[in-house]
Amino acid sequence: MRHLKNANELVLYAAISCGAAFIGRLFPALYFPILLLRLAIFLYCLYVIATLERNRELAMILGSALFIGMIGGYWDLIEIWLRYDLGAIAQLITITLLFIASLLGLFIYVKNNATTSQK
Amino acid sequence: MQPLAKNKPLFIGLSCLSVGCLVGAFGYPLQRLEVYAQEEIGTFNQAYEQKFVITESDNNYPYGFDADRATKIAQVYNAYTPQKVMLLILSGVCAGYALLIGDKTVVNAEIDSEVQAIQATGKKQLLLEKVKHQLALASKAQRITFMDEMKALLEEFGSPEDEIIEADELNALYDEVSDTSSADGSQADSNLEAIRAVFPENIDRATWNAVSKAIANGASREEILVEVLQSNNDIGRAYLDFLKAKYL
Repeated sequence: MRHLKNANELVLYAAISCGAAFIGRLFPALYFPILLLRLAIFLYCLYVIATLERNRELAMILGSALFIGMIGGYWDLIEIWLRYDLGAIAQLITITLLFIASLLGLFIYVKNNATTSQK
Repeated sequence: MQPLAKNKPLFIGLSCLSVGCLVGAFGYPLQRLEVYAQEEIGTFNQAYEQKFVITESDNNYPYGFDADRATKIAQVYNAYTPQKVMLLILSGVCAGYALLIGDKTVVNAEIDSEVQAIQATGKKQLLLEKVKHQLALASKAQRITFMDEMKALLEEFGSPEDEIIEADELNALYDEVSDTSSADGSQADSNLEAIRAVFPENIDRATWNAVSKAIANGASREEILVEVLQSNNDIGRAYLDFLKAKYL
């Protein structure tokens, strides 16, 4: 039951994130602010997971919801790119993977520092 | 238990609906778009194809796009914007409402499972008690049966206690005799030996029973000697005296 409640939370945030992605696509002027907001929330989630003890679960849910919402919001466009412009999608995937790798490195670094300072 | 879990089906249904709506909102195109391919020749005389995706909400052509040279290679004209947005809103609303009733439902479900666990433990304990009780009853019944059988056996073959007491008394008598009459022991021993030659030691008890029965019936000493011991002589008299000394 508790897992179902967490899933509900995830779906709610993913819906909001997906809605933001739709807004960013329908009104291109808002694309950049929404991207910034999304990045800021994502980084904050990582910070919470890495350093704070409380609300870790919520931060994980929020981070994954952002990711799911982003992919879901752009899914039809991703399909087009996959079919007609594999170069672009390859670039996108590369950039995303590099970004995630650097974030993970930062995350592990911060977490290790936090545990060693506690000792 | 039923009133506690009243909201549970609603909660589960709303959750499933919200997930379904979200996944549904991901599918189908959001906006009309056209895909263009444009032949380009790079600095090193290499030809390549530049692709442009132009959506209906773009204000301008993308950078590098030449409307004269570009050829349209694909188009999506069936957009499902309102449906997708509706599905998304529905998904959000369902998830939100499920979250609102979720706290109570989750707590209730946890209470339910807790109550069930306690009930299960209670049942188990009750069963254990029952088994213990039955075992105790069975043990008691077995004991009673054994006692009955023992009683019947005792009635049939006589109590071993008498024999034990008899043996003890004999020992005591023997000790006494050996203590007190160590002086005239040789005569007593010869007397006893003479008696034992006729009356062995193992018939003492039965004989004494018969003698005491005869005494109770009012028989005289001579009658006892004749009828019970069947030896009206010195040895018979001595044996009667010996029995009297032993059992009285």
